[in-house]
Amino acid sequence: METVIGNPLIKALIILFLLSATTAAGDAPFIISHKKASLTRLKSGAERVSVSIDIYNQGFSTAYDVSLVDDSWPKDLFDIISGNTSNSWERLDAGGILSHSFEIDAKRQGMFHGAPAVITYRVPTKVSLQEAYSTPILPLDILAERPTENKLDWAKRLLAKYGSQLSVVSIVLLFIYLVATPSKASAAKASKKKS
Amino acid sequence: MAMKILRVFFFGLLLLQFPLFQVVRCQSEIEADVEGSKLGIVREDVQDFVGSNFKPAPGVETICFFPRNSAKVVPAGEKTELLVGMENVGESPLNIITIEASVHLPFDHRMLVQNLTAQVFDNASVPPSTQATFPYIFALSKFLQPRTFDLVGTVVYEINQSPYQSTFYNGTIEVVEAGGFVSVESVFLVTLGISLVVLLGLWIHDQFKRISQKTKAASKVEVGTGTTDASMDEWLQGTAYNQSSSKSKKKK
Repeated sequence: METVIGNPLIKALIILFLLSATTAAGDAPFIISHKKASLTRLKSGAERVSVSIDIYNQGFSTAYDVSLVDDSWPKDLFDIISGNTSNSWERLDAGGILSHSFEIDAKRQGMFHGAPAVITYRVPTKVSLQEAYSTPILPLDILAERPTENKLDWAKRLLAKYGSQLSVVSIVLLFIYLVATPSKASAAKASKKKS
Repeated sequence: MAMKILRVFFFGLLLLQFPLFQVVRCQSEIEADVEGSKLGIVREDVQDFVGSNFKPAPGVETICFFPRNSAKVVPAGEKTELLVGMENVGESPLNIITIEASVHLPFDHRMLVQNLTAQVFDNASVPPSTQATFPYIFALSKFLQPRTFDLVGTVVYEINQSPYQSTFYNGTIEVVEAGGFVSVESVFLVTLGISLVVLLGLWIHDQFKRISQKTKAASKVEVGTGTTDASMDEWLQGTAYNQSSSKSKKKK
């Protein structure tokens, strides 16, 4: 009698233990987000910031209702030119990638330290909204004074970068030219012999 | 006399070369300049944490990800970026102190190849029940041999003023040579290959010519008028040629 009661109880306990073990093993999405910001100086003198945010799911299950919000660009310092600072997607499968980018113009000069963007998503096993932060960005030097590059420095830089390849190609071409074309002395001799 | 002049000449040449001689210097250190950027101001007590060994905290999960580089290819001498994902499952926020990494030989972890610059963080925290990502940019020495190496990356953080350390990556990376397609060696090799092919073609062409000349010689040989029998020609009858041949016949 005791063994009959004992066995199904032990079985239930084992099943419960296995279930808990699988959930503890990390069967959830792991959101990794990469935020990049680059500066471009326009001809008009304004500084354009191109922001791109990549979201990867390196977990084992799908993330649903993925929403990206980047509120780290205050309205008094930046104007949005194209795109939107927030976006949302229905799902992000395990191993998938989502990308979002936008452009903003900087108004004031100075160092700007940006905060990470916030990504929220849902998982079937939990009720509350899950949060993930993107990478922080390096401090941006907005409208920094750039010293004008000397022509000589520019030439030196190009030479240092491409000098070796250019010299190799030119030597090879010169060699081919020398081998392929007959020399003037031999051509004169040939014409003399004929006459 | 000639030998004396020659000796003087060679000595003079050697003496002349002296100022132009340059001893070849080799770089003994393999650890060339390594990149590592700092995000924010450095903490004063950071030196206590760099290089030390702490245990991982129980409520923290880490993951390593190479963006757009699933093969984990690292060009030697150029900047490579990897992302460290941290998940704080615990109750209190955690502060990231530093991320550091080192490169080892794959078959023996005690053989350290290169220690990479630690990236220090100030004011980088992960609130409870959230995931956060942190970048780590590094550059391997450009003199590293292109082969697989082991990269060990650790992140040092503190929860409630107690330091902890987690290894976010302990696996292989593929080091390759950085460099474009057009390099001195590749251009030389390509030109050498083309020239060898052209030479081979010319040689084959020569061989063909020689063979075809031999066969032509066997079939068509210009012999002129030697073999035609002149005595068979009718128009020579009664001429001097006929009389002379008849004379020669008589003599025989």
